Amino acid sequence: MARISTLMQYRFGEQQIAGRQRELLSAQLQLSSGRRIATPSDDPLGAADASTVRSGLSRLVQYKDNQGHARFLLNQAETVVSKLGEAVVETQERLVAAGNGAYGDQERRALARDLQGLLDRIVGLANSQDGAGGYLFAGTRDGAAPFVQNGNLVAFRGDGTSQRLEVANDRLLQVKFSGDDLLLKIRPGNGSFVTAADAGNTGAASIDAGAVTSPAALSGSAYTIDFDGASYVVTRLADSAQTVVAPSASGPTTIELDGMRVTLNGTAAAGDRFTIAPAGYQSLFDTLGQAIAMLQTPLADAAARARFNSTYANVLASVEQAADHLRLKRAESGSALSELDGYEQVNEERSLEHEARRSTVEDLDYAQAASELTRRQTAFEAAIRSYSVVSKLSLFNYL
Amino acid sequence: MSSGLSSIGTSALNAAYMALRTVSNNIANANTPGYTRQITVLRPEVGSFVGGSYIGQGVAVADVRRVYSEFLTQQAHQATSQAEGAGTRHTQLQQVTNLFADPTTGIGTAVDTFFRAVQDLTQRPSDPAARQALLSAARLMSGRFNDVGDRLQEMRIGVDRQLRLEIDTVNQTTKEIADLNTKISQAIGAGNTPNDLLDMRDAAIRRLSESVGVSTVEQIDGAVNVFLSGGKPLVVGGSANALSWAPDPLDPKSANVGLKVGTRVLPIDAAAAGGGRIGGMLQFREVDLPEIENQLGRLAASLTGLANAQHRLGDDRNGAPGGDLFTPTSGLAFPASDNGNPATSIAVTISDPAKLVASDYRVDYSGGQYRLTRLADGATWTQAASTFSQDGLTITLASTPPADGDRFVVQPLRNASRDMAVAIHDIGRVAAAAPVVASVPVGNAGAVRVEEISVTSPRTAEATLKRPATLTFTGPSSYSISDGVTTVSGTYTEGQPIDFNGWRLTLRGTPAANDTVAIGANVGGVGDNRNALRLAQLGGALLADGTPLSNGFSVVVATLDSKTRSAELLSTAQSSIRDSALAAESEMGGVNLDEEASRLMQYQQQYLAAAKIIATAKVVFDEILGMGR
Repeated sequence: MARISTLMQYRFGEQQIAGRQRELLSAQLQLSSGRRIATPSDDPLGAADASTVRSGLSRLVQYKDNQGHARFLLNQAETVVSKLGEAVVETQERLVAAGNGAYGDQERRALARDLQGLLDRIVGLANSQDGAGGYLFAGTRDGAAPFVQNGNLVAFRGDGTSQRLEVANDRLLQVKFSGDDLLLKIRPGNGSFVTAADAGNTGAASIDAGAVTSPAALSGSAYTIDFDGASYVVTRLADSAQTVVAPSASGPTTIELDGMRVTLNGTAAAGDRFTIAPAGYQSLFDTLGQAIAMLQTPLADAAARARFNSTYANVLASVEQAADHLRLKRAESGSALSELDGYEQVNEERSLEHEARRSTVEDLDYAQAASELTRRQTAFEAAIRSYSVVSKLSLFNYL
Repeated sequence: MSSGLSSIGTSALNAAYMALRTVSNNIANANTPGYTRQITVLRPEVGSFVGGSYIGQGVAVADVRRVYSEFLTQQAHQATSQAEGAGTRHTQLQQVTNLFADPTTGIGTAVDTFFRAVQDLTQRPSDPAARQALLSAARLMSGRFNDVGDRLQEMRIGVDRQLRLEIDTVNQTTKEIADLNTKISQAIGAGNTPNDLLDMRDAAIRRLSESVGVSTVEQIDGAVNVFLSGGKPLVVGGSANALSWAPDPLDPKSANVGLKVGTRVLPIDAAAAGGGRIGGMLQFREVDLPEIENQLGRLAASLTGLANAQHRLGDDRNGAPGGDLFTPTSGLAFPASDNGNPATSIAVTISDPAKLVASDYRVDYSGGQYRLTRLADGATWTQAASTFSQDGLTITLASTPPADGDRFVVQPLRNASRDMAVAIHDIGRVAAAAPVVASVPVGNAGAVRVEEISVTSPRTAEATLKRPATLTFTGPSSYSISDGVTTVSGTYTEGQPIDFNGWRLTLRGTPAANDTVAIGANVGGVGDNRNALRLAQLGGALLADGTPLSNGFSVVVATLDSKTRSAELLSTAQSSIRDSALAAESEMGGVNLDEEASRLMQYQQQYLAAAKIIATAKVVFDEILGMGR
């Protein structure tokens, strides 16, 4: 510029000093607060980023909390289910012992008392609490114990709705099993159908639990097997179709029909009837009740013995089904736990990433800030010094 | 002869003395703001023709004038307006930004805490502590929204107060300018250049330019007419128009700046003001502040609306329907105060919180058609019906038709943040459970199981929703549902939802013929967390522009911060331009003490030399007189 007025001269100097001072103080504010962004408008994108990251972190922390609670519940469930499995195995041992032909009514009654004790123990386990004020297997009705025992009859007062928790983004994990699913919905017999001997049978023949030879060929119908003195007449109740099977000369008679195979042991009397029915569901408690009743019945004659054998075959098969079922449930809770492991690990990694990102955006790099402070200090000093030098120069000093 | 010498000497003495006085005046006013330096313009006296040649007659003072550039001064006026306007707007925006700034006590944290409390509830739905924590977190969150909304409102009131003060200042200044115009015209008419009055008037116009954008036009008689940058007249000759503070016909709760010209009051908005502090504040108040309030309001209204919609679908601890968790926000809608038909009223409700757009709206009626304008981006919809369903809002006009040209204002989101409140105080009323359950009885032969049963929105009446129903499979892929009142049948596809009586059932697995599923009311399900789970997942619900709800606050903050940053940059740039303009002005008309010091020397010497001429003239005269003796 051609000329500069005195006013402008001083004003310019003041502005420079004010500007350097402002910068110096801003650096000082950063260092003393430890924050890179003093007000959000210093770095709007960074501030918004930090806000998003904090939200994300908060969600991850919550997922971790949910995962912890889920693990707590699943662990307890797994423990109880494995104890239930043990109880069922003990039941199986007692039942196997009961098959001993040398045992009399007294021994069987003793076994029945053992089974009673096992039933009580199973009810106790089924009513386990979940450590958070509710019950493990009550579904959503967990204000009261889900299983109510009346003698050997056990009723379920919970419901089938399962409880879930959000353990990762949009991932709901089932954390509680319903007692319904665990102990009530067990397939009796061989899993597909149950066999039975009529209570009024007089012969000495008994029916085994049967087996499935071809699942595709199963008709789903119920059947009756009547012995008319000479042969077995198998009637399919759905369409009244009949098949006649001759008893084998010596040894057991095997009937194979519609994908099923049943074996009849012993000699039947005319008019004896056996039934085959689709399995449906039977609770473990009902199965145990059936076993206890069976063991408490005195066996007076061969017919009673035969009826015992038929019931025995079915009960044993039902208990085996129950043991399998509980093993499956235990495996399910095991796999839920390992799924949880996966989520926990991912959560951990993502939390670290988020924290690192937040720190990059929000936290101050002290080394850089400290050197910046020194630089600005120098600039400020330069501004002050140069101002004082220039302001001393005037023509009036020489007049 | 010596009289010639004498008179030349005297003229030189006078001229030097005048010049010294001018220089002294400059030195005295070196630091006076608005002072333009003056220079003495000397001209030689006309010579007289004596003895065959022109002999000079000395020196005369032609003029004492200001070293002034109208162009530079006007440029400086404009630059000042722009800088003040940008600076004021930036200051206001900075205040708002600081309000939203602290990450640990702000709204973002409160929203996060609320969702975490909901998640905790999913872990322990029957625990009174978890329920209480949810209500506390909800109250904390709405309290934060209230705080920020209230503070924004306070800022608006503060800006209004400042505007009124500025208007008073402007009115005083324009009167001053008008008075000076009169005095200056008189002086110029008498043939003088009233330098000091001219400086005073320039200073007054400069002060005015800090408040509003101005442009000036000089008249022949020396008066200066001053206009607002937008073109409206402030000072014409010796009379000034006053700014006023008048109620806004489009918003009865607020008033606005107006200019009284004759009997009319012209409304002055940011564009009309053209800059200055008034321009900056008007822009903040008319554009920036509503935008921020609406963005924040949209977040509040979406949260409230979505949470309420989900909460209504659940059952509380006593099995009663959940109802609203937050008090529903009521949008503002009112007719303009100058409508031809004052009987027509308007109301707005929020029908779909997920579709809300952060904007105010206006409804105009003309030629039998209603036109809805979204003020944020100018989109319009025209129709003949008097009810609009747009952007998640339902806008209804009653007592129609209005008069032609009538206008209505709709502000659906402005108060949402201030009005947010928790509607539930009893922990038993928190609806964590779902109202219906589905179960598979023990007698089923097939392997069908219930994956999920939920309730569709809006919630059906209790009597229907909770009526026990049975779904019976008539075959492996067909079913019929009956509740004793209605029967429907359908085809079964695994995983496909089945809707009936207001609930939605999803089944998995393969059924056998005659298998059933029983659906009924949820009785005693205190451990049911299904509705709480849905509430917790609301964080991922998407708003109209695709942002997830839990990130909603970050978006508000990002918009605000960008706005503030660009306002800051603009302010810095305008300040820099102003400084250049002022420097240029000063370069021409500012006093430089060293320059004046050298001039002081220069004219002092001339004075001494001129005195010498007079002394010489006296010697010559004495000599002539001596000759006669």
